[in-house]
Amino acid sequence: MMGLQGSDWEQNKEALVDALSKAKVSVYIPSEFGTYHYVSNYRDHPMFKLKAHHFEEAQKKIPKVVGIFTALMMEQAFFKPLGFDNEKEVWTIVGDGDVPVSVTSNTDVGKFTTEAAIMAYQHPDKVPDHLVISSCTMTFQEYARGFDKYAESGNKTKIVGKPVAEAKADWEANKHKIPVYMVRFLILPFLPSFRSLWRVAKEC
Amino acid sequence: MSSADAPVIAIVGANGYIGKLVVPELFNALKEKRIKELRILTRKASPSLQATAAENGATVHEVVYSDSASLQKALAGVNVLISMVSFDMAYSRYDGSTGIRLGTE
Repeated sequence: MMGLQGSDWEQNKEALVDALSKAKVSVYIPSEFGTYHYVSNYRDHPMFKLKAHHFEEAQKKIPKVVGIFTALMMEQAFFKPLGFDNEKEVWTIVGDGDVPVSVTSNTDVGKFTTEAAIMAYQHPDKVPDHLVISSCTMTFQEYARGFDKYAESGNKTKIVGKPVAEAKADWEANKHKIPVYMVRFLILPFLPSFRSLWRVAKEC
Repeated sequence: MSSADAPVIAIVGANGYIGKLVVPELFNALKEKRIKELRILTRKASPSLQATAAENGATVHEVVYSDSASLQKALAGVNVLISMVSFDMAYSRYDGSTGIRLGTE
């Protein structure tokens, strides 16, 4: 599936929704499992517009459609290319680190999706169209204190904040260069530097 | 909950990042009879996928994703479909109707 081009998969999604309708499948959980793009500043990105369009089209043909969204995965979030240098005990972030930010654990994705799928079939009226899995919501200051608790060095993590205006200007200047599969990182207040983003992109 | 209320669930994208997180929980639910049946839809059923599915009481169904009839056959009797295909990865090569370069691959 990974090798398919977007346009091919768009056609496949249409075939899938058609088949779901004709097979009288009650509940469809489309492939979201990423950023809750409906409320982001980047909801007009073509990738997210296609996702939203697919959701709307599916709702016309299938009795219950449920989108399940996550924050950045907890197990992947706090690593060096995103600004979290735990070796040097320095985190470079956007803002002052006093805004609550959610992360989602691998374990919760599996458990929550399974329960949501069962519940959406048994009690469709009790399940909203959009569900967001948020395992933990704290500020970066609080996350840092959590890391400090288990730091072998006994040191406190230093937090270096990048002004929001500077981060936004960086985004505007560089967004056309960003690989689409990295966009989900961008709409979180995680990235302090687009140089970091390029390192991530090269590693993927 | 009676087993009569337990849904038949089908999934696509079982081998992806999200799929590997969700499938073990679906296997658990199947063992607990909170799911009546679990079908794994795939383009090509590898022996390892077949074996893992069989060990856990699930079944594997080869489908052609572009063919609605093929999908309908695999979905007959299914109550819930979970798609976990990595759409943004697939989309990363897309350079079509929007005219915007979206990916670097």
